[in-house]
Amino acid sequence: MTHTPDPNNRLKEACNSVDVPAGLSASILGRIREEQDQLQTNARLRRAVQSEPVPPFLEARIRSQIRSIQPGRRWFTMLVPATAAAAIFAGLLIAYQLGHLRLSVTSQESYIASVSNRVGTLMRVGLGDHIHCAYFRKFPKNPPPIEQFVAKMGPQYAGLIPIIRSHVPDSYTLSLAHQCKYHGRKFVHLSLMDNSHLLSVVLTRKADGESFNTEGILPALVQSGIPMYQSNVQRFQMTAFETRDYLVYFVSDLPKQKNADLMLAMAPEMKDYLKKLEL
Amino acid sequence: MTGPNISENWMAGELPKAVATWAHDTSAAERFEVDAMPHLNDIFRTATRVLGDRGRAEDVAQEVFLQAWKSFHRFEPGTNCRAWLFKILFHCVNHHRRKWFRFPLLKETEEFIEANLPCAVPIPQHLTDEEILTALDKIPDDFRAVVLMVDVEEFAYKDTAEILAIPIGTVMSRLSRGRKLLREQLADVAQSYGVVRTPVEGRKA
Repeated sequence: MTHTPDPNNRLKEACNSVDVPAGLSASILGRIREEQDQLQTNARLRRAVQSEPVPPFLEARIRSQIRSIQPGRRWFTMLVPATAAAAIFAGLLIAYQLGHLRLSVTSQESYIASVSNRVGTLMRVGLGDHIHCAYFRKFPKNPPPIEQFVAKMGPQYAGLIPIIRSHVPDSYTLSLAHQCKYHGRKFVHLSLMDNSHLLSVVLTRKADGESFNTEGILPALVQSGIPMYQSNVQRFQMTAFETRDYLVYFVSDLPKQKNADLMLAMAPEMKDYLKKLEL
Repeated sequence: MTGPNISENWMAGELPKAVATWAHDTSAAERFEVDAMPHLNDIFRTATRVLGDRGRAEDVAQEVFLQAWKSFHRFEPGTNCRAWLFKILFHCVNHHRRKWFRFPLLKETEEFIEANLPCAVPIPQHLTDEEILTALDKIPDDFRAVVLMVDVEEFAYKDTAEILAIPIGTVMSRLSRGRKLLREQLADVAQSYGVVRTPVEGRKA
């Protein structure tokens, strides 16, 4: 008969066969003694620290100061971030209302509609094209060469470039000159800008019956026999005149008088130029 | 403390704002009295040991309680008010150290301290409180703060780490070294009583 070892007993035997290092118990006792010493030292140290006398007036002084100060309130600590958040939200809302942050075509169109609704019907024509074509456009830092603009304007209207250029200060660069189409209507559009202002000269052929005269708008100014019509909304200042076949707008974010002065300066030459096209 | 005039509307329903504010302040004052004020002595004594100057300790203890009162609405009832006050204390101490340009006097590297750790000596039983406190004051600030928090104020390592805004591992190592440095200081006193140093088992050569 063979003897089969019990695996549990075998494991127990194996464990028991491991030698206990000499001095282990002494080491454990040493650690315990160390701990006890430390506890005694701590107790002694605590007694020593607590022996320091506390000034008798200190408590009274603190109490009297505390009585004179209102405790902080939970709502007040929340008020600061809430106010900051409200200010940021209001800022973003105002920026959106003013046309900034309009990234999609739909939101741009809704902005044009909301702004245009606040000016007369004929003024909307030039204003809408200015906002659509120039205001929302990201202009490159370096504008393309003048030849490119001449080509885009076409031989019929390229002659307007030097006229406009000669009346606008040199600090403005010609950033855009082309023929475009907006809401099914054709435009000739030139834009100039400096570091802080954007100006547009917008021309379009009159549709049947279109006239500032028939719309019942009274001219704000008359320059060299040319009646000038003015309007403004938000930051946009508009001065316009009409020829037999054209409506001509000068739209900018300049002050009202400055806007009018520039249009008054260029209007006679432009009218003469357009007259030749109307022959 | 007297309450504000209570209008008749209160009886009708709504608690007037002034009354609500007054009630809030009163209840906060009572809670502050119960939760915070009993720890004034501990705060002052720790401030004295940490700063080594009773005058400054008075100012700092006062500032701790004023700051605690101002931000008492942030204190969660039921949590450890004592640990919260000590946290404010060390915040104030650090602020004042910067203000007074009183940087730690002894910024020894850990290696230097390790290499110069003393042999353990029996602490003479007849040491006076003053001698023990003088020995404690000679330990570098960082180590002294941990010894005070753990061995004197009996805070857990975790609480000490939060109070001093350091990792728990740093608490443990500073405590170990702080205790050894304290023994070194006490050993000097012991020597003056004629007790001779004896090497400790397992100590680095």
